[in-house]
Amino acid sequence: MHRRARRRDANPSLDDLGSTLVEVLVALVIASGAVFVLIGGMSALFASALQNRQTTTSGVVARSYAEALEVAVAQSSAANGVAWCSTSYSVSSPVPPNGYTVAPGYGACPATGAATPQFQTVVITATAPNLTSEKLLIVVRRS
Amino acid sequence: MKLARMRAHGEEGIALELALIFLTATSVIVASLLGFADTSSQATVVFRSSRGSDYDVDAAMQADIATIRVTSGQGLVGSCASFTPAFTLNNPASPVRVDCTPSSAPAGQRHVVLSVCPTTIASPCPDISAVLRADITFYDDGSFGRALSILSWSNQ
Repeated sequence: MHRRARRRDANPSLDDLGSTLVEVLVALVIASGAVFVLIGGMSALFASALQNRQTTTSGVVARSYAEALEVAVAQSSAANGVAWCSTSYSVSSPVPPNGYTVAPGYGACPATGAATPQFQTVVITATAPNLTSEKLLIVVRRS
Repeated sequence: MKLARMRAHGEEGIALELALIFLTATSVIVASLLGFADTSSQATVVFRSSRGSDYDVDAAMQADIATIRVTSGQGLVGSCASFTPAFTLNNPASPVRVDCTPSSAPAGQRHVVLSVCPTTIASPCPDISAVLRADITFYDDGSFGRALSILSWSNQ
């Protein structure tokens, strides 16, 4: 007969024995590892969500500025005619959310010759609080 | 069957089984969470790319309008070249081209329909492939390219 069975026969109360210390320790180690992995996964998820939210918000900030800049250029063009291009426009864009910044980088103004296409490239850079940035290139022209 | 086994062996080893079940469940949960994070990141990248392409299309159209406006001989019936932006696009992986379809116009005017198309589509850009289309009249009375009027501006 098997030794364990013999032992149970000798002492039936052994059937109710729970886990041994080794089992408990092994289970505890496995469960702890699982908890750590779970916490790590949730941290990664939260970090990713934060990053994506800030990236999306930066994009919105850049787009808002782009729309406002186009209006500003149209007004400048209407007011100044041929000398429409500038390296600084008076842009009335919505104030970015706290911690976000937006800055335009203006391309060179075209020569004022009659045969020179009158458009200018502008790269708008919106920076999030975590210092990631979104860049957006637009073209403005004389209206 | 499991119950029978448990009965046969009392509660020996149950802690280990529970731990392994917990570990498996945790693995599934973590895999799901990381799946969400990955999907969210991919959506952000796709959104950025799509937004970049939208602005590229608009930029190409604006640049071509400015170019045709001051280029003599362009925008007349039988003479209107396609335009490919020379500046760096937001989404260089999806380059675009602007095709021009001129039509007859009164003296002192030029009338064109501009269509922005992916460069992968052969010129002239078919209607179904045009991402952005604009109907434009240039006014050359007084001085060449004096003014322009955008009659329609339609996105796909």
